Amino acid sequence: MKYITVALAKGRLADFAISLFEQLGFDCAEMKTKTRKLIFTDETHKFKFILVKASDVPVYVEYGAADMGIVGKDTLLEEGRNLYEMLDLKFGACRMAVAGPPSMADQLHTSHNLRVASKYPHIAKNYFQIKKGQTIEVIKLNGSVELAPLTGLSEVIVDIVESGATLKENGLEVLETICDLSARLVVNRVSAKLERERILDVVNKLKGLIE
Amino acid sequence: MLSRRLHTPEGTSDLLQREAYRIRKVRNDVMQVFSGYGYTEVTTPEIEYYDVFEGGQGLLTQEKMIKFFDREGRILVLRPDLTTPLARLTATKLEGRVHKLCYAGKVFRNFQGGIRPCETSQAGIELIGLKGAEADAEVIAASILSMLACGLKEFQIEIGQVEIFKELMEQTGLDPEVTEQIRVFIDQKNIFGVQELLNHCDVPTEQAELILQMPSLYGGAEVLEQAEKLTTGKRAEAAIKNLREVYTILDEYGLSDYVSLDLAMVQSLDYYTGIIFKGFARGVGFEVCAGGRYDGLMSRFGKDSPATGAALYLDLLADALYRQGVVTEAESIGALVCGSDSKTARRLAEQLRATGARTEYYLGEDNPVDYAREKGIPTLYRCDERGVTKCDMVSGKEQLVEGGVLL
Repeated sequence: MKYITVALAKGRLADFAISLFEQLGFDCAEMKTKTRKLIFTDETHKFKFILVKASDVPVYVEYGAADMGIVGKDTLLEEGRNLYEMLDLKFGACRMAVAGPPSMADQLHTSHNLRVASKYPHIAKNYFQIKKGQTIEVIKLNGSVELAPLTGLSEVIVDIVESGATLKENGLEVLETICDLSARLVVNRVSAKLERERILDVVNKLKGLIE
Repeated sequence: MLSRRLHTPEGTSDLLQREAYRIRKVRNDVMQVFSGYGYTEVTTPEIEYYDVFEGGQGLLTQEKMIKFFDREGRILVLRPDLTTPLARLTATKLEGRVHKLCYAGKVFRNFQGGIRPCETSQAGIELIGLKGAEADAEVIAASILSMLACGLKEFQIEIGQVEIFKELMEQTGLDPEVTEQIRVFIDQKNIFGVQELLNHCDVPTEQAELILQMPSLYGGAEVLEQAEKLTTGKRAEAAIKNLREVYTILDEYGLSDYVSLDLAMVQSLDYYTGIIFKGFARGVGFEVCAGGRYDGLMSRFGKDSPATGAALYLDLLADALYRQGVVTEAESIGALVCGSDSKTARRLAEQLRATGARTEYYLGEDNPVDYAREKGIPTLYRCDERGVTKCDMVSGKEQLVEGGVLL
């Protein structure tokens, strides 16, 4: 029997995924120990788990280096890979939103060459240019995006919003919601065909768990 | 700064001896099967007018083509696809109704900074002028048999039918934008995405149920029975009948082990109008072949004709073969001929070549024995005043060939 490889996004999401797979009877004990290993094997089920950076999960799965993966919808939207998105795991529910100072609320639709700072340049561009038909300048940042409108780097930001507390503390608010986000189970298109039974089995069991 | 002089452009690569041989071998194996089925090769230019592809979707959208201008300022593209040029060729240049054509060549796509190469090799067939399941099935059978001829072991062809989805969406009367969103979700097997979308739309329960079921409608022949129960339209009925016939014919070919069904396969190039299919091989993450029926394409070039075809992605097939452990080593050089009697040596080399052996006439100035060893050439012929000596490079045995020349 061939190994099925599951790519997990390192961090909170991986811990959640591990707990799910443990509930399905997989041996994930080794993954919970403090180790520098990046690849873990469950010999009974012939499953391998790999820990990778969130934005790399769709890459591993698209290439078929991993058969399936668990990753946030934000990463999927940003990476835009050609995958099967088979399950909403409902974990880490939040939303992608346009945020800025309250004064921007009225100007958002009328501004030309709006400057938008974001860790998600593709999502920002897609939303403004394709969905809203607005030309914007995207400024790619790697963290503390809230600073951008405060320092005049950009007018607004596109970012993940959970409670909205960080925004509020910095005098910003959600101006528009782009979409809802949560963790997703993605599957490689070839693996879904060639390992159909084993993959569907996991998908259905996971589905049972989260419902 | 790294000199560009030393590199190939992004998305392209050199093929070294072994890789070039592997791809050539795959191409030859595939083309031989096509030829055996009565498909005759044609070639079209690698450069076409942009207008030929204009208005295409999916992989044929404007931004995915590599473009430049001719002297008159007209837009040219490196062809992103071979089916469209072949449709152009058939519509504008060929007499008669039925044509069986095959091709092998490069296609180019502008995958910037992308994960996939810009330049790839394809081989394919087009069966033009015929409708019906027999024609559809032959194209699929030829594709399967050509992959088997390459030596590929583990692969699957998934067959779908675009008519089921097209009719269904027309019945719902949803606007094109929502239809496109649903298409993307179904294609991604994203049931919850479909569900979420349907919650916001006004779709009759009957159609909504089928839309929701579509992502799960894949597997063996049982899928057709499920689909039959769910569908409501005439075109869907005809589509399922077509799928059933094709499946039966492929079974009669003895190829049904390689075939399964996926009614949620609704991505593909927009010119498909009936059956569509894709091939998946263990070891590579992308499909290794694709095809289907495209009855509407020819009319874009002024001639209305049904057509069906398939394209095999040679680079990916070669990759799949390698990953499945099917080793194709480049054919080695059989013999090296050298010596002071250069006239005899050249003649002997010609005679050996005539027997089909790859034979090198030694042109270097160093020791030919070292050269033969370095290149792994098993036999060395030395022609000098003593006559012709044959040396076995493995055992080191030397032997004078009677009569001077071997043959």
